[in-house]
Amino acid sequence: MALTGLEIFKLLPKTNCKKCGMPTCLAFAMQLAQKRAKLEDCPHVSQESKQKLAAAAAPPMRKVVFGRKDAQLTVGQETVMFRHEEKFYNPTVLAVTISDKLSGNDLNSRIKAVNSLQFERVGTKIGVRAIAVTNDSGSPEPFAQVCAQAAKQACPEPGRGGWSRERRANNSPADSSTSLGTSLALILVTESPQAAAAALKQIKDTAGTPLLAAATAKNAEEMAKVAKENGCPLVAKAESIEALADLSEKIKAAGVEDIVLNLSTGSLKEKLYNMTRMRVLSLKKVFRPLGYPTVSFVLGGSPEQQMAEACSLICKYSSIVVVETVEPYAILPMLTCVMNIFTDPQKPVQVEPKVYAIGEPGENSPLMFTTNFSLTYYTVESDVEASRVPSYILVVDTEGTSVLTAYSGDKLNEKTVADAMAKGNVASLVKHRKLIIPGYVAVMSGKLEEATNWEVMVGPRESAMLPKYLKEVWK
Amino acid sequence: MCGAYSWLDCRAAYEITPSGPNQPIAKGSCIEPKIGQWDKINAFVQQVSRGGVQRMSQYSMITDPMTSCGCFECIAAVLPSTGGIMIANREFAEMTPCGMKFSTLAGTVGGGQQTPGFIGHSKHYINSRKFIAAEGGIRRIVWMPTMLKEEIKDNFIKRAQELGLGGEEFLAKIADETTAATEEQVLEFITRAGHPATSMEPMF
Ligand code: SF4
Repeated sequence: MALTGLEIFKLLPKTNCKKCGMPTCLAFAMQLAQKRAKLEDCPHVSQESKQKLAAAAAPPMRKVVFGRKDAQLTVGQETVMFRHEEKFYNPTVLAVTISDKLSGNDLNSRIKAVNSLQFERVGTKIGVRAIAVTNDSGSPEPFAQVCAQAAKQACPEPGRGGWSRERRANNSPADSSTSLGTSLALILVTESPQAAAAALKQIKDTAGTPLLAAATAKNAEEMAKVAKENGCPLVAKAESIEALADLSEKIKAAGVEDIVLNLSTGSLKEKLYNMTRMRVLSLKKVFRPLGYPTVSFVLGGSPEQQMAEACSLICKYSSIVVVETVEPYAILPMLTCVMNIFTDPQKPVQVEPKVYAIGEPGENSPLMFTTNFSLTYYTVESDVEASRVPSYILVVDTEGTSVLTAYSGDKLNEKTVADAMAKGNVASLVKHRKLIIPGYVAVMSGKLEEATNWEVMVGPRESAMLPKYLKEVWK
Repeated sequence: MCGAYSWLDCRAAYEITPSGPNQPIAKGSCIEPKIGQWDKINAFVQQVSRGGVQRMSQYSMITDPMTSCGCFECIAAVLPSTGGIMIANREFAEMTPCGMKFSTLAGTVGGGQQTPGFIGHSKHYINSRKFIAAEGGIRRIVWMPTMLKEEIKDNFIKRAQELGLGGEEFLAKIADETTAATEEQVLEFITRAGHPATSMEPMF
């Protein structure tokens, strides 16, 4: 459990020497408790206290990194049960299987199909991030071979448009660590230590750090050894929460600390129930044997069924989901689901502040402005589109707030609008000097005219009235 | 108890919206008479905080202290080396001996957090017999801004007399911003003044 400020204070030197930048040790302790200060800032804290504090501060869920150097994937280290409590940090990694029974053209086309599962949605690139090679053949050689080929050829194609209209939002849920790299990560799905070792030998130089799946109660020691030798994270697979906790302890004792948990049995309902229990135990009770990211396998069933199951498991609480289908129509909803729940709810979704051309506007077309809150912008955009009057929309940077919010917060004023006009170089886009402004901020007309020397036209209050306005008032 | 809201407000709010945030709570039976805990209150707190707060003491600022939203008139904070507490009122904007201004303190104790060693409360409540009774009540107060002293003076003196601390005399033993700005100065001041907190058991 996190320590309270007072508990932390007891571990500090209590000398009020001020070297940490705080006037008292107590003030420093309170900052530490709120994670606004770092322990290193106090030069006098004893070794013993340091250890105690570090243990209390260690994240309840471990972070596990795997994949290629240029496209490393981070999973785990989540801190909350519900997105609205703070945010979810590391987006679920979606992986697709490739069987080691495939060869020749079949194998090539399967890899190609997986590579093509990249999309662009509201301006953000999303896609499958890993290939899970499954040891269906049961023998090491084909497994190693298919792994080698997958490692070489797994290179996603640039995103395809058309699934949703291309839009540019710059609040991407995926941070840079998960941005699209040049190649997919590998997950080696085999319970044979020999097959795992053979494959790892083949792909040593090409695949970076693959994820090894999985160690079971039977092969734990040998698998842990292979994982340790190759420095890769290891999946622990068991049928119950209790067995998983035992297994993860065993693997940890064998020297592998990067563990991913896999609950292998149960109906979807049972899985959701148990995954939720695991999350509660790791986060709320800080039960370390379950404090790891999780992986779920959704194998078999129609693409639709896989989609439904995968989406449920993404929401509750799989760090990695492995599916079989390569149908884009089934994969896109899963990716959308990841995007939705991993978007930071504390930050408004924003569009890039710039001039947007709707239709093919010319130098006599209307020019209007709105703010860069996505919801505001897209509402205005679709209404302008509906008017069929080619227009320019100037988006003013208001830190993602809507028109009235921005106005009352003084983020939308004659200065910010004038700046945006200068940056967007609107004077060169249109010949006229008329600017349409949102009806709700009609009060700023005077100052805006003074600041810009443009004629201000007060537009409608509701953007739904824009088509009428553009057709009748603007003309 | 925070001073922004009274028992009557609470009751009226409940009568207007019976399913709203103000709810009558049956106390149940007392399980911790010293720090003031009741089984049914704890159960209620646990349930409505979704497990975030497990227990709540009525009379202690060290063990499971009460939480507040942030509207309190005053904040009491421990001053460890003095063995006592300081109280800052909202109007006092300067630095306090604990090393935090009222605004920083408010950020620490508000927002429904349970922060042992700190509570938010009203001015009036300082003179209550229940005010941190588990820790020794007003005997622990070693620092208050002059304006707060002035405001609660009359009742405070009565309460101090009740405890056999001597009325005005005790108030004079409490440091303020004119006599002590840091924890060290408070300690010096109360030691010289012979404040009772100097000879009490440590608070935590
Ligand atoms: S540097 Fe350490 S000892 Fe000095 S005041 Fe800060 S917390 Fe206390």
